[in-house]
Amino acid sequence: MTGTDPNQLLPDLDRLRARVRAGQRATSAPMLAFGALIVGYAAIGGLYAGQLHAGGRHLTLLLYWPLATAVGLVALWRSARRRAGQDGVGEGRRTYRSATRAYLVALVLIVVLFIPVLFIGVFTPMIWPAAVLAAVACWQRNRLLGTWAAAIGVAGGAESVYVIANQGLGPAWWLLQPVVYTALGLALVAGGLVIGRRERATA
Amino acid sequence: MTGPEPGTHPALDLDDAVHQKTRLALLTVLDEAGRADFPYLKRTLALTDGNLGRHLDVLAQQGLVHITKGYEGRRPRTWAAITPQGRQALAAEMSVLAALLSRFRDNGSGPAT
Repeated sequence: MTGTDPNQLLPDLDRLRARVRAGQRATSAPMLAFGALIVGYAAIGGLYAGQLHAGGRHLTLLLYWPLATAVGLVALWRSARRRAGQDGVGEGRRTYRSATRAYLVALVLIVVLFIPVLFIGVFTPMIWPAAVLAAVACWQRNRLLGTWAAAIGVAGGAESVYVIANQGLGPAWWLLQPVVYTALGLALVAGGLVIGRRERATA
Repeated sequence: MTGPEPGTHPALDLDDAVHQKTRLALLTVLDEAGRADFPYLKRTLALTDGNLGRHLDVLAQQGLVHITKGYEGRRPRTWAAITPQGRQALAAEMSVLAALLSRFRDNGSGPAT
């Protein structure tokens, strides 16, 4: 904080906000959590490819994202609480506790009123985590996280469109799909680690 | 605090309790964090114990922050949390500062970009 001249003060205050957000690991924490969940999805999909019939595989994958999202949000909530205890920085106005509650209410409404939404997790599996990350980014007004969510959504969506448009793809593609998802998950984790290092330096 | 009347200078709407730069920084940190403990605020704003305590007292007297003192285990811990009035006062201050900056730039006295 250099002075009370608005020309200097407003950018100083923006930097202060960025420092608090870095202390909260506002960008890296959700990227690491959902990157790990995408890798988990790829592992389960790869494990079951060719071993289960499509119905059993689809049932497993149908349940994966609704449950994994709840697990991811609760993990983020607990880690934010632990950070508040350790470092003394609060979770902010838009907490993961509220996000988890809102998600669970939305999930109940989806199950009761619009169950086909759940099939997003089966047929366009990267759209689900991308949508959750985009919602968290909007909720917390985090542009960088929103950019990563869009990148995952576009890459995963393009892959799904390619698969749907080429129904005659051989079994090799189904074996390759988990590799594509693993790459996307690892890209998110790697990005989260780099951003996390920057956040630690800033905070 | 209400918006400036037509023809009045926005600087007249600055609230002394909030406009002081350390208190403005404190409110900004608390607005982003919701709440923060004493050591975090001291470290982030590079303040001494006495300085931080004095500014937090001023903000608490105005009802802009709420101070909670307690123990975690045997360790005493003081938390400061921003109140809804604190958020309102900060938002009003930021809009006055933005108005001042816009006026400053409209007058052609802003920095060359």
